[in-house]
Amino acid sequence: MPNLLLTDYCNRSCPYCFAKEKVALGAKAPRWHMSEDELEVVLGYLKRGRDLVSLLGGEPTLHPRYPSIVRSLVSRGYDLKIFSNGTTPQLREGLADLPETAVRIILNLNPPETYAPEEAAQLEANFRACGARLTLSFNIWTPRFDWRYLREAIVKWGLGKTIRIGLAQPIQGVTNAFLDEPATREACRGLVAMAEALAPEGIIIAFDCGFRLCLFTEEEHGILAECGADQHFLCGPILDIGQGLQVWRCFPFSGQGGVRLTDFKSLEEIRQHFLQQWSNERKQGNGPACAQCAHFRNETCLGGCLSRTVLRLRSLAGDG
Amino acid sequence: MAELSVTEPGAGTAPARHMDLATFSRIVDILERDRERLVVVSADGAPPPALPEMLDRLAAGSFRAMVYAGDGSGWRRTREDLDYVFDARAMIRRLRGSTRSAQDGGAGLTLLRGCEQASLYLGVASARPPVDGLLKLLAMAPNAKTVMVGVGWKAWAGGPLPGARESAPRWSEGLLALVSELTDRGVQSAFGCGLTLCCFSRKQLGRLAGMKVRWPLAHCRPQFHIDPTGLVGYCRRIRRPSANLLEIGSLTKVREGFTPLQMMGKMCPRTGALPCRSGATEACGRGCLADALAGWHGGTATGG
Repeated sequence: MPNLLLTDYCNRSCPYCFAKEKVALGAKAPRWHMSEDELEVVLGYLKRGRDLVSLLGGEPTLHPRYPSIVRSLVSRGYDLKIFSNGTTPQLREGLADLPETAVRIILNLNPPETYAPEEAAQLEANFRACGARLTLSFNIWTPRFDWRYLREAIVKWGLGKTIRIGLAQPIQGVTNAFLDEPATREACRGLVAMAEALAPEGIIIAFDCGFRLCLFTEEEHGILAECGADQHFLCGPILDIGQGLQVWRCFPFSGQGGVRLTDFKSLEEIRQHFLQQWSNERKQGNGPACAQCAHFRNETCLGGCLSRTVLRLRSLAGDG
Repeated sequence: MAELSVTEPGAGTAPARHMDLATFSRIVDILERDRERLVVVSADGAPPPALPEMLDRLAAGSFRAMVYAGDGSGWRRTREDLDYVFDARAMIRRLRGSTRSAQDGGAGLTLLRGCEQASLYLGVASARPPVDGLLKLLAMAPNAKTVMVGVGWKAWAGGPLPGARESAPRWSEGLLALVSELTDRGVQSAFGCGLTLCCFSRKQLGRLAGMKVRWPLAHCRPQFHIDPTGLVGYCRRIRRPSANLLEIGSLTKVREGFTPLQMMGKMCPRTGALPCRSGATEACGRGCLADALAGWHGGTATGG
């Protein structure tokens, strides 16, 4: 499902942020907010009741009309998925009146020491208000990481028992934190240990896009399956829709120039456009071994994040 | 998920019972209010006279609809209507994967070819699934991108299918070979309900992670089977206790009533009450609830 960028403003600055190219940081940064007219145009491309509406930013709750947008979309029959950093009071405003199945929250939770006391208080209040409709997400950008605070939050506040795991990926044209190949492998070993430790409490991990099958051994895949991990190894055009109804393949490509939504008849047409645009790079995969891999050929693994592949190919060509 | 059974076969020589259009519309209105996202119209055998209007109603609503079409033989009259069923998926059930079945199910294949997304159902009754026959069927219906693999429930509760001599490891190897074969052809596999995850070894699970297969592999979820009079049962196999959806007016409320029943399924057929991480994470549905209620699980847990 496409992501709607409600605003480009964010009140936090995470080192791995995949939206860096499009996000306005700091109190004095110029801000853009999606207008009602733009929102209506985007909704015209979605099927009510069949397509989820994903709200993103920046921090989407910082849109001046965020609570009324959410209420209005739900009353019109749309189901929402909201990606938030969880540090604003707007996130919980009016939420109790909306069905749990209609509004789901994905909250990206960083280690506790990275939050100011006021932010930590807002997080707690949002956890209390959201409960099981809130799923935590966690971005890996260092080879070793602590995840125990995630378990504590889930158990303490009765949050959804899934942790969405993202691998920080390189953003074209911007410097951000992400892992090289050996560090990614080490991080994946840590993920297996994490899945094993969480499973007895019924907590599972779910992969975001950009993982490769070969980052894990067969034994590790077996353990992950036993622990209920949602393993997939995909990378495709997600479609992020932002300022001026520009559409990007996904955030790592937001510096590359997108296309205009209204130049296309459907979202599927835009997906096909991006598949075609990067078709040669998609055939390469993250590493030289991808081309010979049976999983890559039968598309059970799409060779990792396309942004990494592009970076690798540029480096080989000597312009990276 | 709710399963609307618009046709139910009559006992013996009795005629089939059909859901009437007014009942269908009332039920669909309720499900839409409850924001149910998948409605399965079960039209095994002879479809009801009002089927085209029913499909129109689904197409106009906010549903992802899937149609169980039985062997397709009763759909000759209505199959062209499926062309305009928005986002519908026809599932041809009871094709056993043999060429003979394919000929018998000619109408079903026409139906399959007319659908945007189609699935085949393969009932596996031995440790060697009929891979060759299935591949012939897939060649005849190239738009079928998913094969639902149904396995005899009791076979997975810790031993062989009653009457069969094959052991569980042989079954799991046979299923793995089937999924691998389908993966190579770009076809996804999905296992039917009632498996236990520990039927596969860790190594086999590791191999399955690299194949086109729908997870979780081993599940047992309420299907909310709704009969032509509006009575809701937990699933096709558990029809009692039931509640009348038309009187209660909300599937969400009916679902709450089934919670105690669902809890009874938390006893694993293999380990009994012992904790298992796959059961805790619901990676495994701990076998078939209908079997558990019938006392079958208790028998296998003690080796009996």
